[in-house]
Amino acid sequence: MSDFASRLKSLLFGSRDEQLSIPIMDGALKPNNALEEAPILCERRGLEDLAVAADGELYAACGPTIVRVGSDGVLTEVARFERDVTALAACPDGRLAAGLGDAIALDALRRDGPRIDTAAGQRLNAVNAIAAAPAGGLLIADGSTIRPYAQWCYDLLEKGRTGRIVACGADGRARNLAAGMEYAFGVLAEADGQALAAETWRHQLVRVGAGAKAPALANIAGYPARMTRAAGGGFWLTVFAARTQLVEFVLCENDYRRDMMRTVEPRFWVAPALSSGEDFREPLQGGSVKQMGILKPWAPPRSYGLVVRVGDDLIPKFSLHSRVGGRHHGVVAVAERGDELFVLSKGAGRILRLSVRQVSEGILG
Amino acid sequence: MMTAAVLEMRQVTKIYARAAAIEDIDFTLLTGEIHALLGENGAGKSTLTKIIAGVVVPTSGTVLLEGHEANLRTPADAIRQGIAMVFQETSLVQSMTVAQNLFLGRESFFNRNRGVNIAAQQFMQSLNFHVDPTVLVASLGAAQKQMVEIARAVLMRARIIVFDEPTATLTPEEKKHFFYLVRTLKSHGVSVIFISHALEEALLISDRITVLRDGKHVLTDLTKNLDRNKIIQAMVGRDLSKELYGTRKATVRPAGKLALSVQNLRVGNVVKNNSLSVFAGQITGIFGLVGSGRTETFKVVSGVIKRDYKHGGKVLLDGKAVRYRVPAPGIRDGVAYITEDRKAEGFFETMSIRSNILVNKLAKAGIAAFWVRRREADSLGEHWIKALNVRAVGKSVRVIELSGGNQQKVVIAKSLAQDPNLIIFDEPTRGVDVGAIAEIHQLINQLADAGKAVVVISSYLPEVMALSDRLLVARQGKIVEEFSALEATEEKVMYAAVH
Repeated sequence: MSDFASRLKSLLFGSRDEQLSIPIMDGALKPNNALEEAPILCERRGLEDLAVAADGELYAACGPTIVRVGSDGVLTEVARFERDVTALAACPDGRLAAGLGDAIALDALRRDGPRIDTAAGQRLNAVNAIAAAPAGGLLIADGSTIRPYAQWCYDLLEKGRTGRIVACGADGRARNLAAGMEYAFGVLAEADGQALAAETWRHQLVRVGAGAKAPALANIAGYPARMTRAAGGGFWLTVFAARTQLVEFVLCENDYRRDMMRTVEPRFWVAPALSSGEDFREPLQGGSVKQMGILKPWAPPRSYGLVVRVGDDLIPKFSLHSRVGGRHHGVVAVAERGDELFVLSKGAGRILRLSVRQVSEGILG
Repeated sequence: MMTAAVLEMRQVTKIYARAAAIEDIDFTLLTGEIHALLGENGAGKSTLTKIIAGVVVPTSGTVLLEGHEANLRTPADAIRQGIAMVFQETSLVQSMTVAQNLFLGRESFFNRNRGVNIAAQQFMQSLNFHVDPTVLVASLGAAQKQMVEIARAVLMRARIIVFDEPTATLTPEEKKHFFYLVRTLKSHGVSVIFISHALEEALLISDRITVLRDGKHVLTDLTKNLDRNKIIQAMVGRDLSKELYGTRKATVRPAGKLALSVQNLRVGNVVKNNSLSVFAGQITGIFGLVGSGRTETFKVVSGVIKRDYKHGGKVLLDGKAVRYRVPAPGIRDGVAYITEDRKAEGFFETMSIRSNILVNKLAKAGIAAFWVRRREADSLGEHWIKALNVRAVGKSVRVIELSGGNQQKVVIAKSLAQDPNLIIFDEPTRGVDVGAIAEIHQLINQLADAGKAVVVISSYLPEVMALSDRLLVARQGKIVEEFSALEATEEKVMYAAVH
């Protein structure tokens, strides 16, 4: 059935039931406690993104700064900006590129390094992920051209579809690989000049290139975010929140949603969150998540922690979880260095350190 | 007291169309013993018991009842001489009440319904069977029908009762009660012949066991001298213990592409917000007790039944949302559902193997296969008969004439002829002998190895554990637990299914 006919049918008869259905986390996504039980490397509010530089150093974006993360968890400030750093990427030539929301610092460790604020004839607005492209270029995920990065939740509830993926060559020329995306968050260079990007509000990864976009991994059980190449082939995918039927329902109820956005404080909206359980006014408290005073691990999650190991064939292999009752939620970045896997839980403000070998052996057996 | 022989069969042979169904069989049934008769489908058990019950006349040999030659040429002869048979498929008249069925053929000249009902009530109570004698048989469940059959046999004051697969349709609680009844019959001096594919039951209840293979007598011994492996070896001529439900899996197949995603599915009160995924290249086992919604979920997936119109959830096949109202579009999309009730839903029983397979092939091809050459149809039939090792006299033999295991192979062949990508086996080995079970298991494994997404629904835990790469447990209309085959134990799975 064509999209138009499908929409017409929905309009006449309603197809909300299908929209309210969400995929289950089973198979490779079967919940475990790997993230929740992972050792904490360091803790600081405002942690946003991770990058392993060419020299092997681990850097993190944290508020308006870039910090070097020592093996002992000590954070050393190496750069400071006038606004929050929203993305971080290591280039093969040793530079660090940093997203600053509506601009990109191409050499972030240099105080007077070059910046770009326009790409493909359009101002950058919500840069949330950068990846090094072949031949010295950059791939940029500009989440929304309307809402700034910090207001991603507005973009979801307003059903924003203005995200784009920009390929910026070494010569400074930029072109849109894809536009009109329902939030672009996370990008990864592919060998054939294409890119893999997360289209977050549609819960899918898409392959983009030359203005075309094709689903590569659809029906993800959460909101996909940044990705990082894995040494053993494939990549690590972060999922910053899990899908719930309640949020899907609210997304179908236009009047309710508008009323909620107008009258309720944003942190109490019925919407995915990076962390939860901090205030009794949050939705999904009480009976829906607790039984006999104990948080049900199978309760509808308002926030969740999830990292998925995806193979070269785009098939999920295994996953690391921090379940509803856990703390390490809102995972937005992951970095691999040798056998070390660093996971950034933005919700908890923590960087976790795991062993790639141990987690893969522990989960796959 | 198990001393005197109540029934003796000497050198009994029965030949059908130049093929011997049983050959030179010697069989002895002692007074007051429970004698289990075991063998693969097609081993000759049914022929042997039909001779005893007067349904079939032997080609040669003698049958002695209490030392005297018996003339068992009709079922009436057998009944007169105290031999009753309780068939697997009940022989009750559906449109009559329980009481009328009990006294069918024994009515007095002036028959009163009330009198019949009271007599039936008293008789059923004496057997401790809780079945209302005034209700129509058609309204009874399978287990209750079985009880009425048994009661009728007892009412005939039979000296010998033959039970053919009596426990196949009974719940565990009903089985327990059935065994109690059989032991009571034994204590009253009644001799029982017990045919079952469930070897554990035979080992539990019988005094002696006889095994037939390919129409020949292989073994008769006291049950205490036998065990499961010895019986299987006698039945199939080789040790199948490892092939069947042997050792734990050391490795599992890795998951391939997501082949099927069921999301928040609802079907009346049976399936409640059920979600699950099935991956290519793996066997996904579904275990659950009766009423857990396993079968209904997959019947929705294949279009046999429909999900709720409102709030019915979503089914994604290879990432595409589907809503089948009939099975045909599902078949065209590569979904095969191999039913648990092969006799009612699995095949056309009066059609040949070839025609049955061809019908399904046509269903997949649709209008494109309007014209089919006879030679193509023949070669299709021959291919699948050979591929699945269907043992039949010829490819044109009617399916009803095949043994249970071979019938099941035909049902499987019908579906595989459609070249499906998602194959759902619902109770694939129910009522199938051990030899055929091993072959069916091997086939299921081959399908998964070939990259197909395979689902095996079974209520027999050792089977589902031996086959599955991942195991989903259903309870009260939804999947409640998932195990990798490496971590699953019978205790864990059963705990999830019950609690």
